[in-house]
Amino acid sequence: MISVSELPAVNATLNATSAVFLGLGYWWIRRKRVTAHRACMMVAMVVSVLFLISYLAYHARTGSKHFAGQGLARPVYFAILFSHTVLAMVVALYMAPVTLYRALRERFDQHRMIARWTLPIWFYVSVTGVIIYFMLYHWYAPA
Amino acid sequence: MEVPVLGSVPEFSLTEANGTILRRADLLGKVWIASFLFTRCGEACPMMMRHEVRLQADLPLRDDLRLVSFSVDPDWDVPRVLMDYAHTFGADRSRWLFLTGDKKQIHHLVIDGFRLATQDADPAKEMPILHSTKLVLVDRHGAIRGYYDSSDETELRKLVRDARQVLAERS
Repeated sequence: MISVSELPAVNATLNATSAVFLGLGYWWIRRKRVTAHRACMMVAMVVSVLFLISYLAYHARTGSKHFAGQGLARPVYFAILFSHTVLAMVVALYMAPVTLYRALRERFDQHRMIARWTLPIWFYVSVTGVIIYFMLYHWYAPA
Repeated sequence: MEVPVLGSVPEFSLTEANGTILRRADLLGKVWIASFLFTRCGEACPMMMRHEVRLQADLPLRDDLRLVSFSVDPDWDVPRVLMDYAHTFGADRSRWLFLTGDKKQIHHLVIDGFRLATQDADPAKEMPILHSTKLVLVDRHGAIRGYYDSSDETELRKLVRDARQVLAERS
């Protein structure tokens, strides 16, 4: 079984995987391959939900981690963390569910209208999630 | 060779299989191909659907090109029923719309607008609901540009050519 200390790396991997499938899903729909698009987006959604569960479980146990970086790294880190957190909530609680719902109900005009915003914002959330992981646990880890 | 203008599609306000309202104005700016069916239809409609699904594959994938099927048995063909029917035949739901709604409105649309025959079933004479299996090409201004027999390969190829030509029209 995965130990608690390995969870941040697992979470970052799930985040990165979700970003890859989001990108693939976008690539497919640009080529009008609806079935492939749908498959990739569903995988991205499932992986993101797994990540969310794992992330919340981890932080319920260990609380938030102190950022050990100094100087310029601090405002940069907190700016990334803040924007990531706010946008992650907007995507998870509203944009992704609505985008999915509209596709399932076959309201494709409406689906497209919101999806063009959901994709880049979700992508940003995934990528910054991975960056935060590296900053917190590797690049500026306490000596 | 010019694709002629044969008439105009009148106003309509109908319900799509996904439950949303679709009006004539919502299709302005798009080129679309109308067809007429009902889900309880025994032979003619399934055959037409198969032809139309192949047509779907031959048409260019564009946001300004749509297939629009009208139910001539709207009392039975509620949105949920049409959606299942669409899935059964493999219609691309991002490009192919299925409409139902008020029967009088649909009859007026078919007979006076598209100038095609439709007639209710007559239980006394055991006649099924009559309707045309022709496909109708409509341009970006709601003008009717051509009629094509859905079971005729030559006419279907002409439909694809005419659709491309009408798509390319500027005005």
